[in-house]
Amino acid sequence: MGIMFQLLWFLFLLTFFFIYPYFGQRTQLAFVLRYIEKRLAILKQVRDEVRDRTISTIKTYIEGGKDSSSIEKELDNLMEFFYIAPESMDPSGIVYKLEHILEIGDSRFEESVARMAPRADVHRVKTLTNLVEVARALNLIYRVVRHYYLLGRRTANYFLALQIQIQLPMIMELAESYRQASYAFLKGLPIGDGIGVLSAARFVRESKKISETEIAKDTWLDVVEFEGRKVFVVRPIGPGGTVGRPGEAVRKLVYEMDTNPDLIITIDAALKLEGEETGKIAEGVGVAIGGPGIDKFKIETLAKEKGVPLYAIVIYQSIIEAITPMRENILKSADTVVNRVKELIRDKVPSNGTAIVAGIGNTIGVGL
Amino acid sequence: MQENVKGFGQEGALARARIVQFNPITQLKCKSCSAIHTRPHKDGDYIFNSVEEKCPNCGGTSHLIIGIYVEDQKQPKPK
Ligand SMILES: [Zn+2]
Repeated sequence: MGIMFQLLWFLFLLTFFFIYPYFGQRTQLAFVLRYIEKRLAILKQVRDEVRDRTISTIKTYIEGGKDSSSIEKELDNLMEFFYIAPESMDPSGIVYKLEHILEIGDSRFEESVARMAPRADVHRVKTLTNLVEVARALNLIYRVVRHYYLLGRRTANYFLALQIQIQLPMIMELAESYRQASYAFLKGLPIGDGIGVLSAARFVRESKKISETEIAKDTWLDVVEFEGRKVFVVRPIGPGGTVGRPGEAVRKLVYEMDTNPDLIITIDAALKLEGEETGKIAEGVGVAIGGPGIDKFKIETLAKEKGVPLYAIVIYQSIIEAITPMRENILKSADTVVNRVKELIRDKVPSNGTAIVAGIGNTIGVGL
Repeated sequence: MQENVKGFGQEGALARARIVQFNPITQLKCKSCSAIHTRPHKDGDYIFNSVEEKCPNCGGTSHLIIGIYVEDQKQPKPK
């Protein structure tokens, strides 16, 4: 009896030893796929929710009696819209090619939205365009996650599925922030990213204004006098959702308007590290502009050529806080930022000198 | 695919994802006495817009919007 049992036990162990590598990974794969599946369902719901919200918002701006099925079709087209990055094999001049492509894309979005919502004013069109871009981003996230999920399932490849599982917590956080961002763009509320613009605007309001003009597309220039110094303040035109063209504006100031700045200051929101407090302000050197890098490149190039010092002031916040309605802590930091800008100008610019201040970010909900 | 994705206990997770409710607040500064007060955000409010509203402090009627914000709140944990 004992020997019989031992033999059976031995056979069991032997079989287990040989099937385990296959069986174990299969089980793990099943668990991972189920994990992804649950979140994929949420991603789909979030995407559809934002899509519906976008459609119902746009519908409030259509002319009476017009049917809305064409809007849904047009929106679905825009949600699948793609950009092809310029070829980088010969990278010389690639920044301007990228700029060109992005500008075409931007105007395509704006034109479509303006056509869909003929009763919306200029600012509203920009804000609605932001909303459509949020819907597009969520669609892209959903499609990519679904791709890896289905690929992992079809090929029964644990490692393919694992790759997406590792990144899913961050992806879900991003999707959630886009969902909340859609709320801000729907209502036209200022978002955390707008703090740079808001600070620049406050600086203008606290100084003596000399002149003002639209210097580049969606970009406003105020020339102010601050304690004997001439300060050129560049920021996007609100309250519609736009980031303007700060790089182009500064380039025009320096090359076409022959400004000889002693200092260029950029103010922008920056991503905080985990555990850091929201609304913390830090100062550094360089150009604080996010995004595809065109504006950053232009300012860096001219600063190098003209030997202008580049200073940056950033306001720390999380990715969620940057694209959702502005938190109290971030709003409160604006006054401190203005003081830091003033100190920097007093410190680095001679009393009859010139400085450029650029407020960077999305100006939604912040007027001129 | 659609069938597989549906109904996998998503209700719990979604309910958690939905608790964030924004109550945006508009901060106004009276143009005559410079008093600052707040009220719930209304559609069409934006920063640096002038609005006609009665000042509870001096009775003046013109205000400048100087801030729009939401109170800091706990973010739901990432799923
Ligand atoms: Zn008053």
